[in-house]
Amino acid sequence: MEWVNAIVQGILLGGLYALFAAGLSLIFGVMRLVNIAHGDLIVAAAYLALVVVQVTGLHPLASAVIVVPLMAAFGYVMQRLLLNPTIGKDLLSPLLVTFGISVILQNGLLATFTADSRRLAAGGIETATLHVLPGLNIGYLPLLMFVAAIVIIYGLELVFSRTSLGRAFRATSDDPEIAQLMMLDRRHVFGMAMALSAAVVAIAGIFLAIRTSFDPASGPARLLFGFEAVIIGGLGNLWGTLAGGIVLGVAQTVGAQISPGWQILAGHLVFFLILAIRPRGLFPRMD
Amino acid sequence: MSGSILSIRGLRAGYGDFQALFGIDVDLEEGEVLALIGANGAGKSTLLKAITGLVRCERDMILYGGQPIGGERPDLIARRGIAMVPEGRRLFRSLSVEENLVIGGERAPKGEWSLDRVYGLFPILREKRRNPGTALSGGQQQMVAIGRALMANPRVLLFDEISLGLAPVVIKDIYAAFPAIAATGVSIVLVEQDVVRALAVARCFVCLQEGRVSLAGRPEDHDRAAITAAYFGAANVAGAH
Amino acid sequence: MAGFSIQRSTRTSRATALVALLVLAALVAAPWWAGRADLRLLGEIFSFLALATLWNLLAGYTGLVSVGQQAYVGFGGYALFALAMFLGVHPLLAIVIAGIAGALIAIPIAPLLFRLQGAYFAIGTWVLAEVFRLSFAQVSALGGGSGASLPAGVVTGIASERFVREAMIYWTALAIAVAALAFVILLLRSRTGLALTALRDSEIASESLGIGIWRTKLAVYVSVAGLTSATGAFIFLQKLRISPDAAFSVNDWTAYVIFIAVIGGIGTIEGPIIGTILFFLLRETLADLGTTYLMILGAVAILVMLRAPKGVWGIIAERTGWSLVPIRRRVVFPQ
Repeated sequence: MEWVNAIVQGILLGGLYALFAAGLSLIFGVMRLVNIAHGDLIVAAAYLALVVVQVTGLHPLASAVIVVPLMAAFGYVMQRLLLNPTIGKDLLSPLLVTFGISVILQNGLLATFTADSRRLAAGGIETATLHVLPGLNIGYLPLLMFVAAIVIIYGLELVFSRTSLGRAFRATSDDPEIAQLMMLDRRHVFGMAMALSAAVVAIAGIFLAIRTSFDPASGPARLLFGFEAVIIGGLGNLWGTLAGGIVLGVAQTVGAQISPGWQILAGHLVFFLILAIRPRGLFPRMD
Repeated sequence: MSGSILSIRGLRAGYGDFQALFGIDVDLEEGEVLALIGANGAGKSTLLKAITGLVRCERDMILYGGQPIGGERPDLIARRGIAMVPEGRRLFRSLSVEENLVIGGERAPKGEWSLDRVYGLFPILREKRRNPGTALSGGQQQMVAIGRALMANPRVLLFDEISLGLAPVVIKDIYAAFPAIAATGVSIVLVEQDVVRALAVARCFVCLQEGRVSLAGRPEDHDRAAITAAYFGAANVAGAH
Repeated sequence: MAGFSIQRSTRTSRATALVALLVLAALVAAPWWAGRADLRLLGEIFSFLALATLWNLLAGYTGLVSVGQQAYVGFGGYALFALAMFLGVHPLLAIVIAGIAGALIAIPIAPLLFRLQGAYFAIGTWVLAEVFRLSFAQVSALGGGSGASLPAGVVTGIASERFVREAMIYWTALAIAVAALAFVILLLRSRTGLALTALRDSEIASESLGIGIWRTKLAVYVSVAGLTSATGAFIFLQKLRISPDAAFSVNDWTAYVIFIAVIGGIGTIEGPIIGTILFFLLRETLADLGTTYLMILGAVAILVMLRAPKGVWGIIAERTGWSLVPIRRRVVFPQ
């Protein structure tokens, strides 16, 4: 039953990783940009939630009404000011600019909040569990995160397939030159993509803050988990990304079951294993 | 000429170090069909790209309704009412046929053209509206590209090589739609390799050669030999002697 | 028409070669004119020069943007500790073996990472570095997560007299930096290097060449991994202490290195040299600011990428037309 429990917890953890991954996957899909600061943005959102809860007394989950729009606005401005000037030139410039943003965010958080690890108390939701079977408990919070991941991915799919903004994203991704002739301002479209990504990042950050303790250096690991979920799932497929997150989550919890030191390592090794046997991921988009 | 909706004045443009156009003058009258002819590499596509803002040029080299628009951002030029059917169709491959049409018009003012009107013009597209744009035959893709441009309800419509790579029977179908498009009063620039076909639908023409205007006027005012010479460059040789 | 000739060297480049030789001679003699602390600092400078030069070859010329070169720095460091502590290998020999081992381990890794396109390759290299870090943290013989110190006997084994020992360690650092620079210059002057430069400038060409370029990238990646490992081995020989977090630190071995290459000028030989000098000048003056210093580094790097993507050397070369280390051949027509 221990192993069953580990697998179930891993599946639920996969929801959080899918949330880390969704924003990363979204901006890569629209503008072929890989944002190295993605994990640091998640951690920044976690700190923002912490501050919002302290200042307003809102429930951590309710802090989303402030954190999400603030992060989205930050994402939009960051894209317009720092990233748009680098898009379309070469691989190096956008990558290194996001790397610089990552360094600034990490050290900015360190200067503001010190290196102490923090956690966001959410009034008991983080410890409440559902006893399914003897030895198999499902926490309310992991369950909530998993459901939130499904809802958000479904929502993103809807935005992409049904809305004018989604058409603009796809058209700009397909053919950025001709998309301009559709009266689309590429700078704005990219800004909106980053804003949407940062909105998802905000939710991921709030969940991260409630689920585990975090510190200013927690970002890179989140970037790597999100990235691994994207690659395992297959590029350009958000449901595949959820599957990738689940595979990664299960690998980690099963690894931790073997030995605590193996938790993260097992996830990385499964990532490389899948890269070796299925380089395009488990569910690549048919092109 | 004050009746011109679009005036090109001494247009110089190119790509990086490569200059493709050396001082072009063209006038497009309101509601007129202008054929732009010339051999490969004469600069026809560059001219259209300069008009749509995809290739940079100086501000007062292009006047639209008397206003200088040269070098403006492509999306802003499109908003002013200039649409293009690009060479090679360039449909958005992850958009369905209908989405390709919708995206052409959703930021544009309402007008004569709507989804229903485009489907009326090209009934086959209604049947295929759920297909990905790129799953269609070349001729049908061209219809989507034309429909996409029409959806913007443009005042100026630029066609870049609409018959290139299509079978003659398909080209006939596409040109069959031409009178209905022209009848709405839109001003048209038609870039076409097939000179005979282009001159048949155009009221006037401009022939480019190596980035310069080699001949311009009404088709009926010039005989075939003069046009052929302007097209291939024999006129230059003759003029030099 | 007398035709034309092909020239590679220029007047400035011949002058540079002369100055470089003089500087090199002075640096070789440093143990006799510099203090102990200065030698240590120079050793550190040479390490960063080597790392930046190698990273620049990967990112600036081969299109392999890595944010995971700390994998090889740490691997080299641990290899040196293992060789010296368990097998009693002479530390300077251990640096060479660590380099070879780093290249060997890169051979199976590279094809795996190359499956990741473009920017995703960068993150993949980081995952690799994390795999190394977490794996070495599991090796209890090397101190596990808390790390290990190099036994005093290992260091005194280099040479019993302190002056000789410190001079030898210093010369090793100098040799590594010179080797890295020489490797990159010779590679870029070779046919392979010309192909690399051409490919960097045209993506279409690189796609059409397919398998040939894949092998070239593999060869470059593997040799850079080897030289980076040797540099890492030296770094931890000088530090005398190793731990997984220090050995595989993304800040120390990648962020600083990228900063150096970016401000100096990516895709130029001179860039990393200038960048290293600027980096150490900044560090010696601003490092007391702590996190603010790091934020300044990040901001400067972003500013350079946005405003002057060719870095300081790019600006100088554009203004003056200088090319100190000529890579390309120029066609010269007689007047």
